[in-house]
Formats: sequence, C-alpha cells, structure tokens
Amino acid sequence: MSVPAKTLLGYADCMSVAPGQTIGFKVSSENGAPYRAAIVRLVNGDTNPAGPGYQEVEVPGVSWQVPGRRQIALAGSCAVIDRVGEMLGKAGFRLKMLIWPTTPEQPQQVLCSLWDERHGAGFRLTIGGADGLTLLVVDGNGGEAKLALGAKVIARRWYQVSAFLDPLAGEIGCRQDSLAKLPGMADCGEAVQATHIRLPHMSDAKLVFAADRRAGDCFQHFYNGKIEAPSLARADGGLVGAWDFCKEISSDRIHDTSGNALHGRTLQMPTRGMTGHCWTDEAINWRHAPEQYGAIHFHDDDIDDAGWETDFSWTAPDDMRSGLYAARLNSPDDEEYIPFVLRASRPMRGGLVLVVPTASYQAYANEHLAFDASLAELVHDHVPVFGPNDLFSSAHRELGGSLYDRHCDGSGIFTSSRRRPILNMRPKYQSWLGGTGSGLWQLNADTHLLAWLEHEGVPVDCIADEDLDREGSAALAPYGCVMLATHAEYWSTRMRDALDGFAADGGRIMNMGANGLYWRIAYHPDGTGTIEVRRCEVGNGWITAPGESYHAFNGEYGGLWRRIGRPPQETVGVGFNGQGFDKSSYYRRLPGSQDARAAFIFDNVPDEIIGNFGLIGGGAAGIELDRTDTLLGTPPHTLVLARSENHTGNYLPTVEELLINYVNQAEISPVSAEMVFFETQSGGAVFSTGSIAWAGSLSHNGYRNNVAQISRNVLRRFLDPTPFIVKDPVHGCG
Amino acid sequence: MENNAATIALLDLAAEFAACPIGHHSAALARTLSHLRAGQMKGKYCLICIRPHQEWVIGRLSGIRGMPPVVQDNRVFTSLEEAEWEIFKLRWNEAGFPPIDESGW
Repeated sequence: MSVPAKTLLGYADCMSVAPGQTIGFKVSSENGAPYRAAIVRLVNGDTNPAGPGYQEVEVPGVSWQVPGRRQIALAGSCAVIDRVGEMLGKAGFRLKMLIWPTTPEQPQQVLCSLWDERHGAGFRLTIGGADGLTLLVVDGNGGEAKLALGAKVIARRWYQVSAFLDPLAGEIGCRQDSLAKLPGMADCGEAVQATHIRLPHMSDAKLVFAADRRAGDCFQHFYNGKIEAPSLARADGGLVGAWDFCKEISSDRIHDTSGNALHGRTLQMPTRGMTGHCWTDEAINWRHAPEQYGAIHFHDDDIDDAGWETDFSWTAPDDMRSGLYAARLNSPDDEEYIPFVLRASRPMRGGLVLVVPTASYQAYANEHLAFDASLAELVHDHVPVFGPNDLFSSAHRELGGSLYDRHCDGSGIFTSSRRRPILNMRPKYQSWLGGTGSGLWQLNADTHLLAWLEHEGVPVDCIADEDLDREGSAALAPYGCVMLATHAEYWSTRMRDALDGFAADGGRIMNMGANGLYWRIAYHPDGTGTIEVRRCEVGNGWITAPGESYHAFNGEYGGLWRRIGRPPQETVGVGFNGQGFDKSSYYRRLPGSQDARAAFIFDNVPDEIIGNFGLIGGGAAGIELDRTDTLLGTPPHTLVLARSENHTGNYLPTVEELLINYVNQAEISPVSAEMVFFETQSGGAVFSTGSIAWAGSLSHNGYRNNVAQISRNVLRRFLDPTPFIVKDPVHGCG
Repeated sequence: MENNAATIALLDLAAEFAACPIGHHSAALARTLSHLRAGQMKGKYCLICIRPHQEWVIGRLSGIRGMPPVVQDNRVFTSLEEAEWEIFKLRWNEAGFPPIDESGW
C-alpha cells in the first residue's frame, strides 16, 4: 500500500485565452523528471465508475517533451524601497514606526531592514521571542552591535517603536511605547548602548519593511502584523523618507511624503485599506477617512505571484472551438492538468455561452478547511477524504490558501491569486465538499454541464469570470442564453451589471447550480486576476474586523450581495438558503409546474418526483440549496415548479437567514431547493435549478432521465429567439 | 437497570450508524456523532484515497500547518462506508463507550 505522491504541478499565465493569443504554462517537476505536455479539451472530469466516465479530447499535433525542473514558491509579503542607502549616507539613522503585531511570540520577525549586499553591511529591527524589540547593526568589517529591549509585546495592540544609530554620540538605541497602557504590563521600554560601530555608505541598499533581503528579490524573516507610518532619518534628523500607506491603497505602490521621492512597492500582496492606530468608528470606509487607514497588514504566508518561469507556450489557432481546456502533463510518476478557458474566435450570435466561474474557483483555491478546522467534518457529516493533491497542498502552505482559510496569524485570507498552482481546480479531482459519490465541486462538477452539452450536440462558447469583469456586458451581448455553472458564487460589480444588463435586454439565463451571485468581490485594478473578498456582517471561515469591510482593490463595500441591496433573487429568482454536504435528495413537483407558462419545461416529463438519482450525493437536490424570497426580490410572477424535500438533518439554514437560534430549528423550518421559472423584460426568461447537485444527475441512464429532459426542454426554448410574453400571470410566488 | 438501558440505547446508536454511516441519522445519533467528531485537529481521523473511487486508508491529521496527515495503518478499505464505520468504532472505543459486539448483527 502506498499513497500516490504528487510530483507535477503548475499554473498558466492567464485564466482564459482567445484564438490567436498565447498562453504560457509554468510547471514544477518536483523530482526533476521530464514530462510530456499536451493540450486537451475537457469534456467530463468525473472519474466515478458509476457515471459516464472521464472524457477529454486531445488537440492533435500539439505536444511538448519538456525537461523537468523544480520551481518553488516563496510566500511572505513585504514592502521594498530602492535608493534608500544612497540617500542615507554614512550619518547613522533614526527609524520610527507604528506596529500592531499579530504573532509576537514568533522569533526573528523583521520590522525593517536595510542591507547592502556589496558591503555585507546594514541594519535590521526585529521583534519576536524573548528578545522582543531588537536592533542589529552590521558594519561589513566583522563588527556588529546588537541591542535587545526584552520588553513584552502583546499581540494585536498598537506600539510606537523606534531605533537609532548615532555615530557621533557613539550610541545605538531602541524604544517601545504602548499606545494603550495596560496596568502592570511591562510592554514599554527604552535602551541605549555605547558602540563604535559605523555603517559604510551603502549605495546599493534597499529598505525593506516586514522582511529582510536574502538575495536578489528573495526575502526572509517575515513579520506578521500591521505597520503604519514608518519613517527614516539620518542621525542628525535630516529626513530620508516618510511613507504614508494610506495613499494609493488600491495599488502595490507605497508613497514617500518626505519630498525625496523614495516611493516603493509591496510584494506578494499584503492587505491594505486596514485600520490604523487612530481609527475611530466615525469612518468605516477608507475612502472617506484615508488618514485612519494608514496600516498595511503583512503576513509571512501571503502569496500573489509564485513567479515561476514559463516552460512551454501555446498559441490557440483561429479555428479552435471554444471550451474548457487544459494543459495535460504526464511524467512516469504523475499526471497534472492546468485548466484554462478558450474563448470563441467569433462569438456564436444568439447561441449559448457558459460563464466559467473562475472567480469562484479562485475563491476555493487550495482550500485547507478540512486540515485546519474541525467544522469541516461536522458540516458534511462524514470523515473528510483527501487525495494526492490535498496532501501536497497540506504540506506546501507556501502555495497559499483559499478565501475561506486563515493566515498563520489567524487573520482571514482576503485575496486569492491565479498566479500559483491551484491544486483543487482540476479535472479528476474529488473534493470533500462534493458530497458522497463523485465528490464533485466547482470546476470538476461543472464539467458535467459540458459533458451534457456535448451529448446533446449543443455548441457552447465559454468565457471566464475575469473576461466578464474586464469586458462587462459586451462579453455577453452576442449570445441568446447565458448558462451559469454549478456554483457561481463570487461576483464583482461589473460582472453583476453585465448579467443584469443581459437579462434586461431579453437574454435568457439558465442557472444550473445554486448559491450563485452571493459574495461580492473585486478584481485587482492591475489586471493580474487577483480577487479580493471582505466577508463582513456574515462570515465564513472568518469575518472582517470592524472598519475593514471595504475592498482595498476598489473601495467598494464587501460581503453578501443581499446585504448590499442586490440579492440574487432579483436576477435569478432564488438565493442561498441552506446547505449540507452528505446525501442529496429529490424534488417534488408543485402546482406551478402545471401552469401553461411552464408547459414547455415539462414536455415529456410525466414524473412527480424529479432527480431521485445522481452522482453528487445520489440526488439532484443537494450540497447547497436556493429558494425564492419575494422580500429579497424574487419577481412575483415567478413559477415555483418543484421543491426538494427529505433532506438529511445535516442540511441547515445559512447563517444570514438566522436572526435567532432555537432547538430543532432545521426541523421546524427545513431548507429546500426550489426550481423556478420566470419571464423577464424584453422577451427574456430565467430558469434556476436551485441546487448544486443538479449537474451530477444529468448523465443518469445515458442522459435519459427527467433532470436531463427538463434541462433539454429549457435549453431548446431558451435558444429559440421567440420572445417570452406573459400577461396577467395567474400563478406566481408573489 | 438504568445503566443497562443507557448502554443498550448507546449500542442502538452504533447499530443505527453501522446501517447507514452517511445519510439520515436520528437526533440522538447526530448528537453522539458531534461529540465523537469534536476536539482538536491533532490526531483527528481522516481518509486518504489511494485509488480514486476504489481504495482508501485511514489517516490522522497532524494539527500542524504544513505537516500533512499520516497513514494510520496498512488496512485498505474498498468502500467508504466501511472505512467510515471503522473510524466510528475507533472513536467509540477511545470515548470509553461500551464495547460493540457485531457478531449478533
């Protein structure tokens, strides 16, 4: 018995590519073994022998033999400013900053360092361990001076710290003051020590906050916590730099206000737009009182760009059909897929487009909940199952976590990048979140939609969330019908605007999953595809601290779309109401299904019970469930066609539905999935399944079943441009 | 008498779980499962898939970031329900609950 080892992993330099464009693939062969790479179109990623079987189509004539090499990711964020050594000269220094440390017990965390590789000289100010605040100065000639204050540092409290080297006085010193004194707490202090040490003129030295430089652009000894308003002066008081982190919060730039133009940049995306030492509840939006948001929160496990070299590239030919593709890598020891969306060279006018929910894939990227939190087993009511990719990511936390995980210091992970291997965004991947059976979640569950369309012979164009965010309504305008995937959960404002605009213009929406349009995100303005979420008011995995609920990337308020005033019910008729992750169940038809307006949906569907079969938990209604709510915007003429029932006790209401707890709450108000249909303005219409598990039932009995038939009926009518017209509807939920 | 009744009730819950490790559970079994599954991450049981949809082994979490789970022993399970039942029994015994005698089932 042996557990398969993971030896191949990688990522692409973009999430989607159009014909004529080039996509680069960055790979680590952990054991250095060579591998063969090919491009494949993904049809069905589910390897469950109870299903139709895994299916991919290799693009002929496109393959590479690649000599393997190991590439590593280095996590940890910091801020770097060039030319500081040159400006500082030989006159000693005075350094000052505000800090809010989160792991003060962890040794050797660098608050600030200045190091000149050529001379082997510099200084660094650290906290951590028993030494506490410590200044180290190294002169490059074998001399060094070290001064450790030894005062306590309490986590999550503001301190002003300072350090100096005064060569004329022959002294080094450091000082720590708590901004909020605690009785009897020895967390302040000052120390001065005589020294003969001198620093050379360090013309090559860069100033680094929250780390020190190991070599080149590699850094080490990262600090966990906030830094605010750092400044550096010569020992005689002449100001060298004063950095105001409340400027250009949405960028990776940091601004020097000294007049010396020593502007810098952050690396690996530390968190900005964070409350500073003077924050009050009078401002909760950093745009309204930027001076109260002068802190950057650094983490030793931040990662935004693994920075790997490209191993091979592919230019998609003009005639290649749109779809979900991947670079498939095969070595003697392992197989790996790096998925991407191939867009259409010419969008199919009036046709079907699948919005591949890449933002949601990123949100769950390398999720570690089942390793870190006991809730994982409790929420899905069975023991988590891990595969080789899970084991690898659990051992390689430098690849970063998901938007559900926490940093080492316990703070929530606010951003997720695609410029790193995402080991759970893969065909053949089984997720502990995917219920019993196939264990499908996100990308691999979505391949069941593609497999069904393939079986039906319905052509589909694919676009990525990132395309939708970048291009807005223009990305959807050519199409007649938008298909939403199994769990299109994370939406930026531009994405929401595009979808709502599409519906208002008469477009049709087939919402094939559940818990969509749920969290608001922001894409980073620099176009690198990194997303940010601020989970406020309602948390999941973590919740924002007071005053930190506005995205740094664009200044928008974060959290649930329903709390922002645009609930998913307004757009797709239903919204998240509960979840479980064990067994799925079935739907029972409701009177709405007999309405003449819904006749086309149930053509050739005589059954009362819908979807009592499937690969995701054994039923079409499961995992996460949506239902109507007229108070949240479900249009009053919405037909509720069917409702799920008989869910296990593990299916519980979502927390935003609860205003108070009581015993046996779930039994008194059981959660369910509602399948709905309604017509929209300008001849459009919306169909929602209300369930993530729906897609796993499509292939049952060779695609001859009531779930597939309903989906087929809806799709056929939704691709027919004949307008939907409704007059004085008799039935509806309102 | 009361002790006997409590023991029988507990063993009934074990039998209920054995009959359906994943799915509908009585409220009493759900409470017992929450108790058995609570606790720290260090040493928590998990399953490691060694052949997709075919073979699993029992593992234990390290509870330490960056340290992956370790395989508990060499027993290979060919059914997830079987593995789930085995972990249930391990936890049951560790909790000091009355011994489960499957011979009469």
